[in-house]
Amino acid sequence: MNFTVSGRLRALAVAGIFCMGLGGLLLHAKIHWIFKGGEFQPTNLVPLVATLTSVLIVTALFSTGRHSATAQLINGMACIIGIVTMTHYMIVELDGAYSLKAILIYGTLADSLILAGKWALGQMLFEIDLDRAAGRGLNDRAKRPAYWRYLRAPWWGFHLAAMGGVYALGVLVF
Amino acid sequence: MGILKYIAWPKPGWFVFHGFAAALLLALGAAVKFA
Repeated sequence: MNFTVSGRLRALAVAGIFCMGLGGLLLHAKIHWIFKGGEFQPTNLVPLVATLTSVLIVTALFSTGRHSATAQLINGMACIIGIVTMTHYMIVELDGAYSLKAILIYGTLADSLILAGKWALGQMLFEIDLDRAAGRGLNDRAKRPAYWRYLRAPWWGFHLAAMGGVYALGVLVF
Repeated sequence: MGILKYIAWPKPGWFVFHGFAAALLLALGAAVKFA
């Protein structure tokens, strides 16, 4: 078979997202399954649904090459929800005993960084397809959509901050 | 882009969608807190 360079890069990135999604699914199943001591734990549905979505829907949408925006929207939002909720767990677990060692070694910073890597893989696919849809190659210099626009990196940064803020409000107010 | 044209800024759907999403996130924060 005769793959293009961007086709080979895309296939590797899709494989990466699949592996990270499946790894997350199995890791969450190991750490906190939806049943604990025979009792149903509804909040543990969040990582189960998010990782199943990554493995099945996000991978399938990225594979088509025509739905990268939708795929990255789902992938990135799942990553943000994961980072926000796991950071919340870390804050509760550390219970005020913050130190550099606690945050780096015992906290969930490592897990959040893995999720950030999964976001970056999806963003790479989205950026490749953004150029491909406009008829540009990987090395073409061209005017691209403004950096603060929908699905570009600063838009994600803003959504991470805003979604984290709204989530924190839910924790503090109720 | 499908459904996105109805919820793009500054359409009324943008406010409806973001209000709904914010309510879901607030509920998630509260749910995890009490879990």
